[in-house]
Amino acid sequence: MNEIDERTLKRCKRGDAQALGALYDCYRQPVYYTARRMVGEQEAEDVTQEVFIAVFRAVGKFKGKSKLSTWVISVAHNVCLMHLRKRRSKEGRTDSLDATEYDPPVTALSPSQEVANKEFWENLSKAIDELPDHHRAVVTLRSFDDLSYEEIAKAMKVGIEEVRATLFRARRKLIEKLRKD
Amino acid sequence: MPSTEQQRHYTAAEWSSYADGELPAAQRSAMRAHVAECAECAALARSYDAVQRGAEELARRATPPPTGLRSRVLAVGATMVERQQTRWFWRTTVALTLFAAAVLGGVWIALREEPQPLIEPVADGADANKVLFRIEHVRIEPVPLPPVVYYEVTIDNGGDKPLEITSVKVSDPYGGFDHKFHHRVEVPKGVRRAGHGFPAPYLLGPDDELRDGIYRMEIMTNLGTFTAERVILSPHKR
Repeated sequence: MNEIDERTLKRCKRGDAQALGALYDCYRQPVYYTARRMVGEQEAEDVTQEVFIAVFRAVGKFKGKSKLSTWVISVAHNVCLMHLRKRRSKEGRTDSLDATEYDPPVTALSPSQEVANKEFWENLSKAIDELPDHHRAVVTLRSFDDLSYEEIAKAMKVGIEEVRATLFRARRKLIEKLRKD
Repeated sequence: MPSTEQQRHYTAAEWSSYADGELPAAQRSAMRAHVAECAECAALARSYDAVQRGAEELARRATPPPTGLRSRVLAVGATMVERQQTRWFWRTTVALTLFAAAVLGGVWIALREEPQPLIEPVADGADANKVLFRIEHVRIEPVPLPPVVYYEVTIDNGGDKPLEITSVKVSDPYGGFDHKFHHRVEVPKGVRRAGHGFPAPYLLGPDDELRDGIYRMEIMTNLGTFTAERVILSPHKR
């Protein structure tokens, strides 16, 4: 994932409008994609706005302990989770975000199912959308190729082994769903 | 002959981590060698890899956020930053003002503690009696417990006659007390001497509390009466 340079970051911390614009341009895609995956197309725009407002507000306190991209994605992840919690509470649903679902048996895709055709992308996208929230979050964060397990763990405030295990479970579910389709 | 590591089947969880490149180099290398010979593991490896690459590709292919969103986000951001900066400006201004006030207050307190050359020289006494003396320092201090006034007089008698303080009178500017008390101090010629004392607590105001004001001190000597005034603050405000 791209990063903004140190100078721009310093200007962001001072509230320079042009630098904040550069920050938005640099991270808009992963943030919007995370929001779209996590809260759905309809609310992705509002959530993206909310994420960037939170980022602009807090960037002055960013200490540089992680990459800026990891931090921005972490903010996006938290805002999405808050949004999902609010939505669930409005809907009167009590299921936990971390509810564990049935783990399908270990299977493999047939070679024809691996073909990257239009149907494959549509099915995969649909299957990701149907994953439980925490599985969807970890798959989405991992889909930004520069985000390592360690960075995902930092963003989600969990351990590295939990990231590894969650990714495995999520992918097992995805494979099972793709096999059925 | 394949090694033992190459012979064993790997778990799906391991293939998931393999797809992410999140395994130690040695294990990765062993798995790569194994997969070339094991169709079962090769299928698992391909599946987990396909799902991971697929998710990455979906992220790459994702539609960008609507163009109008940028201006909306930046407009809200600009307002927020402006508000933060205004808040920061006022906080800094208030902090600096308080700091400056504290410094000035400290300087003022330090200055007012300085000895004041209140009467110098005492014209009447000096002329009439042809003596040279001066009251170097008069100090009137409030003492909180018990609430009393402490005074201090230093006289440098440079004349040719002995000087004798017969009494000292301290007056409360609010009329709460006006007390003369005998305080004999002899200051022989060429001698510098200090005298001091505490007026009694009952001399204070009706609330038994020292108040801010100009306190007057009269020093009566065999050579005349001299007056000093000093602004003092209540000990409760110091």
